[in-house]
Amino acid sequence: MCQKEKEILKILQSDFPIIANPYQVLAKRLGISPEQLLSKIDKLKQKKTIRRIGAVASAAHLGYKSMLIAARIKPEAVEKIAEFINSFENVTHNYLRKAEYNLWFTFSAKTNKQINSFIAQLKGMNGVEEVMALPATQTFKIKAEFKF
Amino acid sequence: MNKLTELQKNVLNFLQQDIPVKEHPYAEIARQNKVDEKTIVNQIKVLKKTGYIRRFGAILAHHKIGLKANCMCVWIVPESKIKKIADRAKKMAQISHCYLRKTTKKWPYNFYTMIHGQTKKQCIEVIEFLAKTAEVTDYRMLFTEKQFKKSSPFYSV
Repeated sequence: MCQKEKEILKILQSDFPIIANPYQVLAKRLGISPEQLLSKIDKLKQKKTIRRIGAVASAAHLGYKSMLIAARIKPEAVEKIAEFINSFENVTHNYLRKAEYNLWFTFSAKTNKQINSFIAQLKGMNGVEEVMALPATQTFKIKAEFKF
Repeated sequence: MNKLTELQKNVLNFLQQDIPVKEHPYAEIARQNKVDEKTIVNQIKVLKKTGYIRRFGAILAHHKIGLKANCMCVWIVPESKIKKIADRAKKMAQISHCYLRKTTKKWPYNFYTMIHGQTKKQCIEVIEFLAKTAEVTDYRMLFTEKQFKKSSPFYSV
């Protein structure tokens, strides 16, 4: 990643102006033409450095509950179970971690009933030894902006 | 949550996707809703101000910008120290998420932090620093061994 790209990423991540022509204003600040900026952004998207440009909505404001779930899965079943979990749109993160609970993921839904019925389904699968739901009782920080 | 207008709902659904990389990214959504771009921009500002939009801008892939090590550190923090450790964690740039969560009999960890670093060593340093300054000794580092899924949530409105 070159210095200019880094500068572009930082400004797009933390300082995206809410105006009708954001890229014109950002190009001026970066000292390049709008065409150059748009083409650099296209490249950064192709390389998947930029996942997307848009809004992160507040789950709570829109009536969604987000549940952290940890599961203890037999090692030989992990890939298959992970695939099953990933097939739900409600799941946005799913990670393998080194602990007795080896699979950690989040499940978002509008009702507890949906979350509970998913958990019940997961518990019934071969290779799933234990599932625990870990609801947040207080949120101190959510900031998916990265310092780099 | 039902206080949103039809236009606001459309704008929120649009913005949760990938907005076009064009000089006028809101021209199309404005046309679809039969309003001008200025109206769309004003609605985005309102949605941000009222908290429906938590963040606006580019969402980056952390592993592509050099943050290869990601760790969920879970802690057992006594009630009397929660404020202290949370205040410190909030100020640390390498910590993206910080929560208090329900415990279970088998899982006594009540405090959670997500740490991102260029190396595991960097993450460990952040955690050890937090542990020392907040005077909490009971914690476990659960590094990400594999990412099975990471996508942007889409909350349909």
